[in-house]
Amino acid sequence: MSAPRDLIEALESLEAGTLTASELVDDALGRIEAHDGEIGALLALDAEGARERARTIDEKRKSGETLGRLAGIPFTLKDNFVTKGLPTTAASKMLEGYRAPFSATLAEKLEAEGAILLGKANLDEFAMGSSTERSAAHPTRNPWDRSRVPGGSSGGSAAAVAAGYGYFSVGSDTGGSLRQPAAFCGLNTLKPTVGVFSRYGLIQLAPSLDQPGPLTRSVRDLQLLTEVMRGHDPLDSWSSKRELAPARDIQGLRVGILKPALERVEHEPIRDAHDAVLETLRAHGAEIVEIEIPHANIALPTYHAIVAAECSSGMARYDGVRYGKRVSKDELFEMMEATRAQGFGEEVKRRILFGAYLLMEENVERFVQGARRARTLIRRDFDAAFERCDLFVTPTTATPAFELDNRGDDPLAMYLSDYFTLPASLAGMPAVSTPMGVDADGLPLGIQLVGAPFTEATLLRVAAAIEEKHGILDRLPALNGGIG
Amino acid sequence: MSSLPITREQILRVAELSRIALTEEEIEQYARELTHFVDMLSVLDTIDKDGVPPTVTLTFDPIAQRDDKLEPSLPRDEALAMGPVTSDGGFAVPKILGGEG
Repeated sequence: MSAPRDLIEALESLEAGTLTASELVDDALGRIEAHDGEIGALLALDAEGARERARTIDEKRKSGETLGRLAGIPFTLKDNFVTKGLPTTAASKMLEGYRAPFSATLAEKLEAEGAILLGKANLDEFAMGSSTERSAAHPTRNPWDRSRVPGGSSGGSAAAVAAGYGYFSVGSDTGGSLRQPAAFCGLNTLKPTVGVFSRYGLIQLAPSLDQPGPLTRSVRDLQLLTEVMRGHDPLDSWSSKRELAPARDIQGLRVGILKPALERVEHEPIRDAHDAVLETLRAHGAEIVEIEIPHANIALPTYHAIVAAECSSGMARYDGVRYGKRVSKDELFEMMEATRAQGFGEEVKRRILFGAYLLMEENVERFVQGARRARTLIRRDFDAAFERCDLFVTPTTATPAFELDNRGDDPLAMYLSDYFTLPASLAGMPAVSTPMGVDADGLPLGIQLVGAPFTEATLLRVAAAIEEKHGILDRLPALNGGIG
Repeated sequence: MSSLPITREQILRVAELSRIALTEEEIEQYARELTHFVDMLSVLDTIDKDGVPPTVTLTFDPIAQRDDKLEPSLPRDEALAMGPVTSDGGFAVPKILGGEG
């Protein structure tokens, strides 16, 4: 079988009858068999179930039945989305052996459109991390270079798509957990405006920041998945009923840049690639304007205070009573303390403890309310910025993928790797990451496009123009056999 | 801009609130790291936030309410299926301090 380059091409081949869903699934399973022992992108695999669903779709197609918009396309889900058929662990010992009694809205929606779930993808435990090294199961390696991380926390999802385990994955982004892995693995992603994709069935890290989103090979794949995944869900109280704004022409668009933030980037190829993208956008008739997010310098403490506080209270649900791990003890609180001591990894404990400190009566006004007020200031910065521009661009990350075990000793240094992605999360704005070439070592680089609420379609149109000139789809490990 | 170091007693109090048993090494490690963390956050003290309301929820539309009508919910046996210990149609827990279980 000659493997389609992206999801859209796979759909065209399926419709033309030159490929079957069974062939696509077998191809993905073959890659998993050959490479995942080393890449470690997956936590659970449903080979038999996937083959069976593929056969059903092939039969339906043969008999001329109407099929869903993703019929026959294999995909993976980050293992913090609950699924009825497969184990859900959030890469934590706390949920070893857990079987959810219901599926996430997005999982149901995608399967109802005929997409075929291959398995669940690795992540940092409960999505707390930026490298996927904090998974309680095993780390994931970057298919572009196996000595490097795929990013995180949606690192298993990103590695799976880059390695050709299906055509897309759905992950989640709290402070950059989709965008940074997309940049590190040469993929496209969208963290939507708050409310565009349903969060129902997404295991929470920090609910005022958590957003689901797809990881794809091409921008047109991302456009299709945005269309399929969006829509109101009565089970998510923040879910929006609004339509997305129509895409605007690039001609005449005001594209903002953040000069001071760029100066923080020491990796020269990233600055050069960013400048090259600006040239491309100018050539399309966009006007480049300098903007400011004056409070971007406090995004990091603001983010970490809010995440710690929300996570600390949210994680209280893992108490050894209703589901998950329980360590046997004679007394209730001893049981909970032992269960949580053994069930949670180091980073999870760190954030729960830090959050509990911030939430103490004597600290809550200073730290938690303080961070929430700072968040308002950051949101106001965005409102002011979007008076001057229609969207703005930054590098997605300040460096390409780093090596495993490189930053593990210093959790605060690890937190810095989300510098460019945090502000849009705090403001709830939509943000796309798309590739902008590779550096001298052949490592992919990503550019981030941030827009005003509900302007996803315009961001995707601009991303398509960047892809046309700077895209690296042909270099993707999935299309090159010689993975990593 | 260095805060007072977090003490052993403070970490133990936080661990109690969090219901996490800590080892001696963890107590030392987290006390040290929490001191750094509070240092990192203290920059938020320096910005002018007077009269700025806190952002708690973040939506661009009014929060949608569902109709107040009865709908099927998770059957009891399914809800209990993942409970580590269940009995008499409920989740079973060890005795609470001073109780008889």
